Amino acid sequence: MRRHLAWRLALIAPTALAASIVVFFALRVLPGDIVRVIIGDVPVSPEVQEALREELGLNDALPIQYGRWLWSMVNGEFGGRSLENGEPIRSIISRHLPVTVLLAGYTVLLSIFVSVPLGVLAAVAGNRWPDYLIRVATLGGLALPNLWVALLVLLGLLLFFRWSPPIIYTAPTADPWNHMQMMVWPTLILAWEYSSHLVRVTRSTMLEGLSQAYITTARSKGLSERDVVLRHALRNALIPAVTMLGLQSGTLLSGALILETIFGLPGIGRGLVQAALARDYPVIQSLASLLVVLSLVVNLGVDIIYTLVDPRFSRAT
Amino acid sequence: MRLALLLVLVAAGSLALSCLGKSAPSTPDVNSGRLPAQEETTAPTTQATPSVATVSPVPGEHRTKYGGILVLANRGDPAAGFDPLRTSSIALHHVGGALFGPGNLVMRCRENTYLVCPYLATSWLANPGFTEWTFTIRNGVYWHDGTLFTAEDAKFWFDLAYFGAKVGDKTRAPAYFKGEFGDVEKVEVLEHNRLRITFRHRNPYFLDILADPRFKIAHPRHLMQARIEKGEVSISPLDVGLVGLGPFKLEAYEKGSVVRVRRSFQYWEKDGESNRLPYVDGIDYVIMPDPFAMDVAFRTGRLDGGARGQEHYLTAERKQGYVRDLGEDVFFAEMEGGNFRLGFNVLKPGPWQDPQVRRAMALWIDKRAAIPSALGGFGWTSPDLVPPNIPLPEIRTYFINWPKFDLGPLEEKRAEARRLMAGAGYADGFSMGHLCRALNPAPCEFLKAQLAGLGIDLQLHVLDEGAWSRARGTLDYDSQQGRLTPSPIPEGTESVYGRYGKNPDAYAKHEDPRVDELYRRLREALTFASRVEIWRQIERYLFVEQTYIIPIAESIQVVPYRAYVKGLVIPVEDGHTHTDFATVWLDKKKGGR
Repeated sequence: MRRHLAWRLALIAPTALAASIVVFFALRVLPGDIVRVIIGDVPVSPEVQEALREELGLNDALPIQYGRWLWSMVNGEFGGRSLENGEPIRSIISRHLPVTVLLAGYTVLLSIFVSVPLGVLAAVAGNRWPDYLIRVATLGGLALPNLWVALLVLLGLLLFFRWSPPIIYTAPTADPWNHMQMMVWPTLILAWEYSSHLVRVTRSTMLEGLSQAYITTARSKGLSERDVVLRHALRNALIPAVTMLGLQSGTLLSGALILETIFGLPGIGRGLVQAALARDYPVIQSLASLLVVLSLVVNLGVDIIYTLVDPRFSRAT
Repeated sequence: MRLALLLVLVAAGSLALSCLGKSAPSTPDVNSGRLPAQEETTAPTTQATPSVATVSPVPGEHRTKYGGILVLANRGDPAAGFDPLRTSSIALHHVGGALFGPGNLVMRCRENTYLVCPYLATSWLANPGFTEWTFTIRNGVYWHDGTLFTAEDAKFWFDLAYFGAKVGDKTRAPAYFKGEFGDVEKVEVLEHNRLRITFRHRNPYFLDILADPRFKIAHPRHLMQARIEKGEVSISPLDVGLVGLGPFKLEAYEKGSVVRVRRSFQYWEKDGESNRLPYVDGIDYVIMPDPFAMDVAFRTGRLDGGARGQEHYLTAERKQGYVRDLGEDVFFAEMEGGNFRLGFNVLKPGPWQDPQVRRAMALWIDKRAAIPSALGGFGWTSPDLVPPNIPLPEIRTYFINWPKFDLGPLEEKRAEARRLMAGAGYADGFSMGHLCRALNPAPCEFLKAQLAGLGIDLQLHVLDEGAWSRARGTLDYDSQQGRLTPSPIPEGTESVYGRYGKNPDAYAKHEDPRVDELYRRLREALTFASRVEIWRQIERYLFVEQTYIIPIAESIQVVPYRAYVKGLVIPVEDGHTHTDFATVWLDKKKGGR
């Protein structure tokens, strides 16, 4: 098991490197020019544009630009500086990352607390009204785009309560009440979508597990239904749910990206969108690489959780 | 002695013109070329009022009072490290007015955007040939860190803006607006805190240009010069803590969330009753990229004012929501927002290279229909002269690019359009590409629907800001549209209507030397009458004879404010103007809602 984890850990660096090369050259293929974005919607002479391009180092050969960026990733500068405003990317990340991590953390925690019990309840209730209710609710979570849901939530709060969430973000330590009011709505919307996947997977694997021979055996031994469900069926059902938890991390981040913009949260998703629209190459490259590493780490974490949930996995690897 | 006399005469003429410019405007016959006799002069038309720059409270307002925090939405984080030399972004200028002040050495007057008022200079003189402008810098102006502002600071800014900087192999590009300054030869500091700018060619409209609110002085020499000399050529105002000269100084900038500015107690401007400006304790600019979120926050009382900028300006539908929820608790600032126009790239082969085809398209488009469809319900077009709620001064109506041609009935114009298309050999129409901004697709969809009736299949190429910004300066597309106010003075429109070789960013791409010649004659015009006459010729040539551009309608930008926000100076046009909010006060308690 240790060897497996060490191997997975060692793979992170080359995978991230390969991803960074893809991101770097894909950005150069995209149409667009940061010089024009910086200047804005006004006519400017070609000489001024060219001088600014030279100043930003955009006239250097692509391998040189890539090398410069890569070196800054490993020497502690984490990507150098934003082309758009000269801000160190390290500072951009340290500002954006906590917001997204908090939003994603709240979402994952809420989803786990809600979806596992609901998935079990739906399976146990099997084709009765609690099951139907939960399935309809999860169908909504899967089918409705969270952008649309977010706009409806804001509109509903406006029309029915004449209230909207605060508009200036604060850290939980600075103003917990304001932080909670800002975070609660995007967390609920994201958790609805995220937990819908988990509920359905938990339900279907529980249903499958409850029909297995070992469950019949457990029941025949006289175990209580509660022990049968929670200690035997649920433990097996958790493995696909944990897999889903890892697989859906990308969905979670893309959802956060949209909701951060609507609810005024200065997170990494919003930063990435702004950088992409501005063609701020070093920022996009650094944030995208960070997301790649995060994704790899989450998957590594899922592997570790497997071994805790199912000891057979540890023995097999 | 003769020179002194001439300068006195020029100054007197200017003062007289300034006064005349303030008289109640009548509706001019813009097509007749008939001019008010009093404007015949050799001096620039929109000239300075060499007086002390104090501010009168807005007529009819209650007595002003101090205090309170104004909360405004801002479209996004100010770009380019808050550097006005780098960007024209309204996200910067909405905040920049408070931090850096409403002007440069001169500013657009608060009472009349079309006049020039003193700001960081108290007076100025031009030589008879308008190749030298000498400014006397105002005493008692301080940077936010307490350092005195001097002519040396002004020279540092002009040099940085016009010449950029070069240290070793590192180069700082000049300001994006360098070209608008004209052909600067040198900038010198003279004794008695004066600054002289020398041009290689005649530059009579330099004051009008310098009063552009985009040209803010945001670069403190005492904080930047040494660092630039050490090689930090790209240093921005943000890098030195946003130390400005404006009525408010930075308290905190939380990127992506809020820019908080608070009153600068050293600010020098006073109102008509000698009270120091600004009135409010501070402004919180909340970063809100999503207009819907801005609407909700405003309607639930979290904002005192909306953001300026495309998308955030209200549409008629959104305005209805505000009125329904807030009634008289909200009012709307309305500003002339630039001409919605279609520009052709005649340097790219296609049927649009034929002037008859372009003319047919101009005649075909139902310009009135553009207002609800393409301009969010706010705008004006032929045969109206000006919108009743935006009082453009008389002089401006001579130069604004409203679509004053083709005033006949639409049916007749469309019949003529079909005849022209048939005559050009395109009776069945053709397909034409159209560059479209994803940020605002409505005008593209409007044009596509309109031109379909003439058999023209407009292929929309919808691009995000990054791609659109690049593409519009190339020759890769067939047509594009714009909605920018080019300049309040006709000479400034060459950058958007001129020949491609000289103006690669122009909306229409052509290499017509006749346009060069017309603009040259315009710049050399010595009287107001001849200036208007040549402008008429340019318009007729660009918009009718050649139809390189089809002016469709003027847009109106609408920004909501709470009714208790008093003393707001709303520019007649150009949302970049008067963003300092120095004259704003909050009337929340005494009956203000």
